[in-house]
Amino acid sequence: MNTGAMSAERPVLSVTGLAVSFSGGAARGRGGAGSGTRVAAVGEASWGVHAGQMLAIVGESGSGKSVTALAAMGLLPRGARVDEGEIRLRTWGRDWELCRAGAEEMRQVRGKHLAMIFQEPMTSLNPVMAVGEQIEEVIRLHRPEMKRNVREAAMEALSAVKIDEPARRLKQFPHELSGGMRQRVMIAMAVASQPAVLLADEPTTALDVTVQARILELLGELRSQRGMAVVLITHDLGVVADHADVTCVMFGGRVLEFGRTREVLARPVHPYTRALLACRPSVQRRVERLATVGELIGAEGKSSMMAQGERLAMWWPFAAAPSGCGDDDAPVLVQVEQERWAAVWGTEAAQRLRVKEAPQLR
Amino acid sequence: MITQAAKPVLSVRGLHVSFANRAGLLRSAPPRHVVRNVSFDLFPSSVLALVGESGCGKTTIARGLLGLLPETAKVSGHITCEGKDVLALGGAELKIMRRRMQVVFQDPGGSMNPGMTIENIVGEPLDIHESAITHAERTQRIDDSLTKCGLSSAFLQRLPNELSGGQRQRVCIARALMTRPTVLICDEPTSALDVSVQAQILNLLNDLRASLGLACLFITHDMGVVRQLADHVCVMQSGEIVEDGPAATLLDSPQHPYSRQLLSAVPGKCLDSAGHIVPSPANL
Repeated sequence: MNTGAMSAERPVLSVTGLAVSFSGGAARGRGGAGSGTRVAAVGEASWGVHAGQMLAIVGESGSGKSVTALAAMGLLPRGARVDEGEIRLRTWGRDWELCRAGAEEMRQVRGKHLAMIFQEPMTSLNPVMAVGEQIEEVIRLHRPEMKRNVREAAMEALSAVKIDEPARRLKQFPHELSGGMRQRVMIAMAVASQPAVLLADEPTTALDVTVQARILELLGELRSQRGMAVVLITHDLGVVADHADVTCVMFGGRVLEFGRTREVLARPVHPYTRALLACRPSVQRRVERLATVGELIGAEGKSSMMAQGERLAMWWPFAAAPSGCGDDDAPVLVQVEQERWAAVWGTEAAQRLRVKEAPQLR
Repeated sequence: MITQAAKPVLSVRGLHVSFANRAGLLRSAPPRHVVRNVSFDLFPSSVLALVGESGCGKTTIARGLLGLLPETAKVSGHITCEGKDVLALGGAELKIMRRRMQVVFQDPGGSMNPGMTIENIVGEPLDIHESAITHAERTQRIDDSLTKCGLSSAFLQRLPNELSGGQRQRVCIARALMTRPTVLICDEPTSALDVSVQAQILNLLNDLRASLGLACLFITHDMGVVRQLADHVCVMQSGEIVEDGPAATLLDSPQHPYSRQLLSAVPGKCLDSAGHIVPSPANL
C-alpha cells in the first residue's frame, strides 16, 4: 500500500455526518422533561483537514464547534454520545475510525497523533508540578525512543515554541508564567509528541491582541515546518481571515458553509456568514449602529442557491421552510458550487445532492 | 460627541497606585508601582476607552475610582467626581459617591449571586442605597431599568443560570443603572460574549449614553470596540498613559510606538467595514 500517496490525497482528519446528542431534561431542574429525552448538540457535521493546513471552525457559543473536537478526542462529557457519523484520522499509514475506537486504541491516538489545546491554559496545567515535569510526562508516554534524554527533548519542545531560557523555565511553576507563556507551554506539551493534527479550541481568546498575534504566528510556523494540520476553533473572524486556509462556519450544531477562507469571507453564500461578518466591529470605520445577526437574518433568511441546476433554499433555523419541505426536515450539506459547500433545506432535490464524503480542499 | 465646553463629570489627576511587595524576613522589598501619574477627564454623554495589554493597570484604575482597591494599595493623586474629592471621602459620603459611579464587569455570571432572582439582583442597589422607598416604587424602578436594557418583566423571577450570556450582561447593566449613576465603569463587558451579542450590548451602551447622558469609562483591548464606541482613547503601557487623544485621530494615526504595535496586532485588517475580505493581490 502506498501510504505516501494516500496521505497526500486524503484529509488527515475528516468528520463525516457526525451527530452528537446530550441527555437532556434532568439538567434543567424545572420544566419536567423526562430524563429519557436527548438534546442534539451536533447534527450532520462534515469537514476535512489536510496535512499542513489550517482549518478554522467559526461559530458562536453553542454552535457545536467544541463538541465536534471533543468527539474526535474521545473526550465527550458524561451523557453525551455519538449517534451517527464517523471521524477518521489517517496518519503513519494507518486509518483510525475514532468514534468506534476502543478505550485502549484511543489512548494510543490521543495526545500522540491527535493533540488538543484549550482556551484557559491555567486550568489545563497542573498547578503543583513544574512545567518541565509536565512536558516530560508527555514525552515519556508518547515518545519512548527519547527515554534517555527526556530533559533535552523537553528543552527542545520549549525552544520550538520560542520560549527563551528553556532550562530556567522548565523548573518554573504555571503560576510563575504570564498568560501568553502558559499558552506556549500548553502548545509545547501538545506538539512534543509530534502529532499529525492539533485541535486548538479558542487558544487565544483569553489573551491580549499582541500576545494573540505571536501565538497564532507560532501555530502557523509549526504547521509549515512539521506539516501538522491545525483545526482552529474560534469566534474571531479577524483571526480566521489572517490565518486559516479553509473555513467552516457552524451554527446550531450544523455546518452552514465550508470553503476556502478567502472565498468564504469575500463572498459568503450563507446569510448567517454574512451576518456574522457584518456585526463585527471594524477597527477602520465607525458605523452608526452595529448590525446584529437577528436583524440581518430577518431580512435575508429566505435566500437561495443554485446547485447543479436545482434551486435550493438555504437552511436557517429561524426562517420558514420552503414549500415542499416540512419544518422538521433536517438540513443537508450540499456542494453548491466549485469548492463551496452550504447547508440547505432537505428537499427531495437537496437529498439527491447531499454530500457523501466530508468536504475538504487541498 | 464631546462638547469640550462641558465640565468633566469625573476628573483624574496624577493618580498613582502602588502595592507593597512581599518582603522577606530580613529584606525589605521596594513597592510595585502599577499605576503611574495617570490623568484624564470624563465628560457627560461620552465614552473614554482605556486600552492596553493585561497587567498594564487598566483594572487597577477602575478599582481605584470605585474605592475597591485592597488595603495594601497605596493611592495618591486626585480623583474628582462631581466636584468631590473621591479619595478623601469615607463612610457615609463614600456610600453616596458610589451611587454616582457604577460598574459592569467582564464576566456577568461571576458578578451575580446564582441563588438570587433577577428581580432581587437588579433591586439590590436600591435595598442598599434607597431602602426607604415603597415596594411599589421598587418594583417600578426595577421594571424601568430592565426595559431600558431591552429585557421584559418576564425575566423577574428567573435565576442567572436560566439566562444567556448576553441577557446576563444586560441584567448587570440594568443593575448598574438602578442608582441613576452619572459614571458607568465598564471593565471589558463584552470580552466574554459572542460577536452578535457584543453588537447588541455595544448598541445598548451607545443608546444609554445618549438617552441618560451617561459618562462611560470603557476598559478594553479590542480596537474594533474602541472604534465603534469611544470618543476619546488613552493607551496604557506598564501603568502609564503613553498616548491619548480623540478616538478617530488616534486609531487612524497612532504616534507612540506602543499604540502602533497594539493596532498592528489587530487581526483581520483585510476585512472591510461590511466584514468581507477585500480582494487584493496578496490574498488572491
